Amino acid sequence: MERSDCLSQRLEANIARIRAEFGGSADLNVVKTEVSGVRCAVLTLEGMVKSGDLAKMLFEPMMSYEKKNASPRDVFKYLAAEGIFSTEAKILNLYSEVCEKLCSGFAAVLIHGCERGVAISAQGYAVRSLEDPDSEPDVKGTREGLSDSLRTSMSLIRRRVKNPKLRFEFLKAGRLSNTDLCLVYIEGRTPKALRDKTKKALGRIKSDIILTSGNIIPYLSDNGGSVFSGVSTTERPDVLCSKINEGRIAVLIDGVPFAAVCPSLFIENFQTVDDSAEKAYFATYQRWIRLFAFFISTLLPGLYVAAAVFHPEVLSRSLLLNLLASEERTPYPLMAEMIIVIVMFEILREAGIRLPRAIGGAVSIVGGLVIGDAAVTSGLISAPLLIIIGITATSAFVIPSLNPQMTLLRILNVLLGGWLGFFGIALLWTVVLVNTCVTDSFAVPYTAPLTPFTLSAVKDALMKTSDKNRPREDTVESLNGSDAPGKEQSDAG
Amino acid sequence: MPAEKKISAGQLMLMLFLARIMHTMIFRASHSASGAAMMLGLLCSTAVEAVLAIPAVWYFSAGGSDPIREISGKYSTAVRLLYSGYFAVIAGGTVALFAEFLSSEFSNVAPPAAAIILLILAAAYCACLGIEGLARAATVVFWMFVLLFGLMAAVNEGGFDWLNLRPFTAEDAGSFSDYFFESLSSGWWLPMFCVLAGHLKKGAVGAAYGYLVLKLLILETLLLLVTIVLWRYVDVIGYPIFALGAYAKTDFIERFDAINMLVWAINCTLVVGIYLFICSGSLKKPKPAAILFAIAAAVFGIFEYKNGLRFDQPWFLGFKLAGVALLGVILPSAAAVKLLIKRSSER
Repeated sequence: MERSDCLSQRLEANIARIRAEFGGSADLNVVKTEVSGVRCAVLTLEGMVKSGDLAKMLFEPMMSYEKKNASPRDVFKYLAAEGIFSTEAKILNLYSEVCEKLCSGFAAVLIHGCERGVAISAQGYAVRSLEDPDSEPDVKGTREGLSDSLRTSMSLIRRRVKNPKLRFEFLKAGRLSNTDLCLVYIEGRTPKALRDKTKKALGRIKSDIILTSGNIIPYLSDNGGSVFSGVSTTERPDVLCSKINEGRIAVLIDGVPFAAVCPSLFIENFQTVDDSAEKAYFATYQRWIRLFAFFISTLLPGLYVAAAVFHPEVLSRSLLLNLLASEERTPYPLMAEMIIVIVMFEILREAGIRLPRAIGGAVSIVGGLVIGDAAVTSGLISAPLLIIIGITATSAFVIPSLNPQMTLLRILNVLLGGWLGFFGIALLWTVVLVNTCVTDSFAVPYTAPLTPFTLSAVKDALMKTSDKNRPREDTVESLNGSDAPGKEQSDAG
Repeated sequence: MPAEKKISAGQLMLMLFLARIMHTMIFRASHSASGAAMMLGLLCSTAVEAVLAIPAVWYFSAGGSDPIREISGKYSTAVRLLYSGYFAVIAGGTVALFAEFLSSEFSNVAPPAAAIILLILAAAYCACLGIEGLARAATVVFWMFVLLFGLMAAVNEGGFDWLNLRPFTAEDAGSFSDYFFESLSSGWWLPMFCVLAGHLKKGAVGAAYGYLVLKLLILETLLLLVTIVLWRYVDVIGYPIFALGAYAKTDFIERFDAINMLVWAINCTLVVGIYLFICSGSLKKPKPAAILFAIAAAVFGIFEYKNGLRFDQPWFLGFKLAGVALLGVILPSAAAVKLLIKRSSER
């Protein structure tokens, strides 16, 4: 503890020092008062505390305290131990503690003649109400998404796992922002090694400010050059609870309505909460449809260009003739045409996201109907190509979590397919396949349980089994092969 | 080596199998052998390989982890360079044959030299990512093969003609011995096994003999199909397994040639990646070593292609057989004997 950081007995000196720390920031409020003749100051940050709560919890008890010849120490004792009705009260010894608590929405009470203060929890900043998880909509799942407020998100999780084994651990990150992070896991399910590694990884964060989950994910995943990531994000408390039940660990960030979850698997991108609500056979069917959509979205444009330019013998005769007739009328080579349409589609998609929702729909009308129809009618783009892009785009919407990877691979497939035909696509696939196979998070291979093959997990990954017939949840240990000898990865690959 | 950095016996088995089937795929039928002679040749060569594998398999199942270090001690770098050189030549030969296949069947795709360079570049990148990625990818590629062959078999319009399967006669003795030696010279899985089995968690016996059983079953089935479905047609098409796809047809896919090539190219890249990974073990820094040997393999592949050198020419057969004997049998036998002596003296 540095001497210079300790609170002084002089109230004015303390106030001056804290004002200096905040650089005279306009949102620092200082209310000076007297409690039984002892001068005190209540410090708060504008908008971070609830005035009504503060009046009831702090000012009323302070004003009602009466003691003859009360010393500063008596006032401190009263505030710290007896008189304040707050769920969280902390003793303050240092200026840095005062600043930290003020920034977290506490009210700090400093007393003249006493080198210690008291911080009272009275957070009352404006928080967005619970909303639908827009980025992960579901038909039969919860309508509540995680909140920007860390505490609200924690309560959403606690409401779904009413068990003392559910644990929350606070950490700080961001050299400047000092953002609260919260590790979420279930004791006994999440391996201790995973918890320790996560804490160590988060301790290495060098960013000044933590504004999105993207600021912490690179520290949780070692695979810098990977196409895919072994860490996923979710906005849904039900998905988060399901993951921690499987031994994963989640990281909540104050101010961000998304939690980072690790380790994460490729196959999990094709599972949704709705799967649990549907009949097993239908859920299985839907999973395969999503998997199929992923391959269509990634490969179809590239395969189309490669087949049409280099391998027309693959296509059936009637399809080939139709295609040739359509392409004869367009001025650009097929690969260039495809790239132009993909880029146009990406621009329209980006515009749809960035525009206010009220006029976002207009983009699809302008893009889909006006530009699309005009391009075909004027002969700039062939109709079959537009159909291919339509199918590709629709398929891409099925798995939004993999959109960055699908977009990148789609364009690379078209470029290599247009340059080297199926040979180019084969080279790309092999490189991406090996790159994906080597991706892992905390020793759990991203491609598990498909390769390395784990029979018990692969059953549930590709085929939804009824909850009644389902064995225990697959754990991190069963996926990285570090559990009991009998549960080791099968030798079948 | 930490436990999580090891591969399973099944993964090693599939890597060895993919390397072998790559060779079968790009094998161009240069002489007319009867189906029965080829099948018998494969059977006999597999039996011989099963015997030759005993020292290496015993060494690893007895707890040995690095036969090269076992026999050469401080000179192990020199011995490792032998393995690296051998597999750089094998990698070069493989890409040269693949380039020949591409230029003869898909001449519009890429110039052979460019195809060799691109393939080696992709393979070198895969090799740099390490054995775990290659091993896991091998499982996926194996199932791609199963899917492709299953699909082609399901939509095949060709009929079986058992008359094509002539019984083995004295006239076939020459074809038999040719195919036997060709098949035996393709047994570079033995040196591969000696290097890669060090990465195994357990199950050296299962990996080696599982591979031999899998190879025998699948290659014999393919040879039988080639014989009873195609026979002389193989001579016209050249590549026996490629020819099998000629009869497959669906409403969506008119011909399977290009799809075959797609899967073959994936396999070729992966297998060359495995060879380059083996090469990378000879130097202290694996990534620069993989790149160095990738350049060597590319140069050799282009040279071989330009000069028409082929895997089935006598000098190459001799080179491959010598490599199998020295690096896959003699060196592991010496390591096994040394380990046995060490164990006896410890008792």
